[in-house]
Amino acid sequence: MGLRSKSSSFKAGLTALALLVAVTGCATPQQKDGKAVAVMYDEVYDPLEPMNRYFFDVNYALDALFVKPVSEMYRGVLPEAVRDSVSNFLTNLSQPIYLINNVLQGDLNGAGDNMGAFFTNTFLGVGGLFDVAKLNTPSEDMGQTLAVWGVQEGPYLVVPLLGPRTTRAAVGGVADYYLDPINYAAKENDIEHFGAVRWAVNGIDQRSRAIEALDEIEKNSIDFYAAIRSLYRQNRNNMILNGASNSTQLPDMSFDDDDNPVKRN
Amino acid sequence: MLVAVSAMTGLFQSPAFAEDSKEQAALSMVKKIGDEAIATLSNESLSDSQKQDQFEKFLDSSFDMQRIGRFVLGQYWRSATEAEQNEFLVVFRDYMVASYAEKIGSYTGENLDIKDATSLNDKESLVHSVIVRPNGPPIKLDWRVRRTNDGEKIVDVIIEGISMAQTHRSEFSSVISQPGVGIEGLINKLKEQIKTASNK
Repeated sequence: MGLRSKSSSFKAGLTALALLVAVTGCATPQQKDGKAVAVMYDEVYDPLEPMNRYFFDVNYALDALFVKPVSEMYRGVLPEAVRDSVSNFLTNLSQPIYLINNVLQGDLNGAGDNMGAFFTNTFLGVGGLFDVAKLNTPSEDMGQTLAVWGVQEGPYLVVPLLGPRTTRAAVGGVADYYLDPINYAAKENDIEHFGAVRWAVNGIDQRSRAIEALDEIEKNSIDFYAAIRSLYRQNRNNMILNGASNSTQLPDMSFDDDDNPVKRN
Repeated sequence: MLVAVSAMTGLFQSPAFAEDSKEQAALSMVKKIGDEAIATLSNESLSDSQKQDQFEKFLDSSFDMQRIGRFVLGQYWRSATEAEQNEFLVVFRDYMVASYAEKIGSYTGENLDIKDATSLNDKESLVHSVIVRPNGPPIKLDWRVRRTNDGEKIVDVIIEGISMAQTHRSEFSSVISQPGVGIEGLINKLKEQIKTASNK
């Protein structure tokens, strides 16, 4: 891996990013208290629904065949302390890209926490295996950064192998890959398949923590695809606001003929 | 200047301290039902089916199920006939009961820590609470409470920023809008769902 190919792929990532901002950036962000706030859309923007449903089924089958059984095995074989350390290690690896995104979002307190957590846990937490800092740093990605910048979320997508994404989050994910210093450090040190291994372990870690929750959603839903789509988008909006009060996003529950909600003819 | 500012803040804060403010009423309402729910769930002398009966009573008395039902039908409420509306409200209530019934047995010592309440609009407040779990990180839980003619009623529950009412509306709209399904189709799907849940 030469420097040349690195910088050209970096450029490609930036170009994609610039294109997205150019295409969708004209939309003005909603201003509230001087901060850009993501708008929670009432209606679902899913123009590619037939294709998305197809890939949702494909992903579901792959999950049932491989991901879920492996996740169950992972959870069954390894003690909780070990799994927590895997999770801590992955989070610690992500602190640099969280930091970059916090800086880009103008959240310097968040960036300071990322810095503190990374150095504390890397040096005092045995390379990030233990969370000594206990700073509880939420995940930050380029999709969230673009949202803060006022880029609209775009059509809902179900990406093969990756699952639900807004277009904004999908583009952000590509940008994150090229911006992440850890990926360059891995290349520099000739760690083979680093990105793929990190992605797979992270996937199993996340899946193993959501086995019951996902089973329950599936069991109680009459349209699993639509339920996941709504949950995904609400959760993304919550992440963009960093869990701050979501009262501005809640839909109106008042009706015109309010004292008598049931129609009487 | 300082006096003016403190007088101003005093002016704005005073409604929150008024004895009968809707936030206070919402807060005490959620506190009361939260205590009752935990007491019921942790009461080992009650069987699961007794607990389930308690839960149904609690749902009927504390939730504005008509409003929630109307909300989750969204734009389709108006196009539904009165008979469909009424049938939907009954089926939706049973669906809620069936969905939450089996969670009752999986209670493992969680506790509800109720924090405070903020105003949402002239009729509604948001009561903020946290589910404290013996193992695992705490879960943020907000209760959307509305002042109605029958007192304070819960109209939505928001878990970690995810509104249950909105999730249901999104899902139900998707089902209704599929070709050849409609409101009648949604009601039938919900009935099937209730049947499979109660057969377990």
